[in-house]
Amino acid sequence: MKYRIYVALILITIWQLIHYLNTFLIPSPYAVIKVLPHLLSDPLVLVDIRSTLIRIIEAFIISICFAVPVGLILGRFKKLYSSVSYILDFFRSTPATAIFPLFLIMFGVGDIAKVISAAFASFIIITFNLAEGIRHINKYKLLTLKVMGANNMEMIQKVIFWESLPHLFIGLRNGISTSVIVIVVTEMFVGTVSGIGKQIVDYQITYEIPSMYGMIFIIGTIGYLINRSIMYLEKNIVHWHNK
Amino acid sequence: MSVAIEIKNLGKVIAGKEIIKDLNLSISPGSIVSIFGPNGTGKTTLLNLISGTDPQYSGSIKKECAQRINVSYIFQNYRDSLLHWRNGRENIALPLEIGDSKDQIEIKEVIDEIALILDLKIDLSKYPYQYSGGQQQILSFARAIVTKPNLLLIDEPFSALDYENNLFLRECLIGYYEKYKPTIIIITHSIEEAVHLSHDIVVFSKLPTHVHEVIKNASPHPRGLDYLASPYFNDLKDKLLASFRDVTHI
Repeated sequence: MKYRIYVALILITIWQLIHYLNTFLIPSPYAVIKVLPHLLSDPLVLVDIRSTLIRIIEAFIISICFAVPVGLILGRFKKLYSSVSYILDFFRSTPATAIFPLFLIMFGVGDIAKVISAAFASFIIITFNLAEGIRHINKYKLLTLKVMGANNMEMIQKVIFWESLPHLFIGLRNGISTSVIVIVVTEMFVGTVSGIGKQIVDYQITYEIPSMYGMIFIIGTIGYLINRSIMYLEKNIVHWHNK
Repeated sequence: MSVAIEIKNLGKVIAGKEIIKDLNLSISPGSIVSIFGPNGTGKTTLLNLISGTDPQYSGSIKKECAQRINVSYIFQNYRDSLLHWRNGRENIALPLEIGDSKDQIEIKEVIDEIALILDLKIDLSKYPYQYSGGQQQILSFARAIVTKPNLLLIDEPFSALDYENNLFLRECLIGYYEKYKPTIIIITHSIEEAVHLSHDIVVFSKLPTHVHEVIKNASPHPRGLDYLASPYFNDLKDKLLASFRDVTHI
């Protein structure tokens, strides 16, 4: 903990020094900290935060609903996985924001295109991680169940589900981070009514630089807290992992 | 009712290499049989074939029993076969939850009975990663016998144990055998374990594997620790060592 504080102090010092290079484009840490209470008490900004959070959660839930069954099936059937793995790899390597214009044409400028884009990106990541996890399940655990006479459903309930959990959590953490990125970026496109991404762009256009940094800090904190929450769940649910 | 096994002309090829060739073996119901031989001669492969986890082979393996055959298999990688998200008690209960699963009260009674038979002194509320290697092996053994199998397959059961726990688990196995008289097949690299536990010691040849010799041990069970100091025990050890030297030319 002590070293974390040192690192934070060093970074703030570097930031302060860079601020002197261009005091207009790079506000001081103090200026950004000072603007945060104003942002967080502004009802319009709170609406932006709420909109972004709802979109992230919607995208994340949709991606989990599709990725878990698909990942489970792909992980269980090797031939099927090898037949479609290149598609997963292709979309894993394609920035979801590059596909967003396609979704814009398909679903219009409303929330649906944003949520679908983020859900799609998160779905690819969670599916890949889950399928990989299931493909590498310890064979002795499966053999143990096989000798006991377990059927497919019992194999899934007693072993496969649990063995895949560590990989699923890796997918969830990467998936939620990707959802946050995609949602904020898509909010920066024209036609967005509210959202942190839209607000960042608005502050940039009006040259309210400390407020722009403040909004970046807020979305960064939201992403960090969501990630830490999943890590907390992971630590408590998958307590046996790496032991 | 225990299981009789008749293996005829068994053959097994792995990755183009003939591992087992024309292996013939009769295992009497209610006997303890040790498989002894050099490394890499298909001992574990044979257990996989008998257990049904590997269904691909030539020849025949006939298992006969008047009742339903109930197989338990303790793998050499006992640590990997334990479910690390279930505590000790839940791991032992696992076979009872498969198929026509029993209710919780019944499961508790069976586990308490097993704990009594094995004189388990380990805290069953702990998770497998919180146990020592020896305790994990004892846990695997407890889980294997919880359904009272009539065919028990054990792959190097005592390899990770210190001598005290090794003797303890051998006594547990003999105690379980005395009570339920199952057919037990053990793979071991220890001459002492093989002679102490078995009615028949099957010595494997080098590859491609067949039965080199079957050494009979006529001493009745239960064989206590005094048996380890008897002249007959030492004679058999010498005989097994001579047979092993025949195979390996050491």
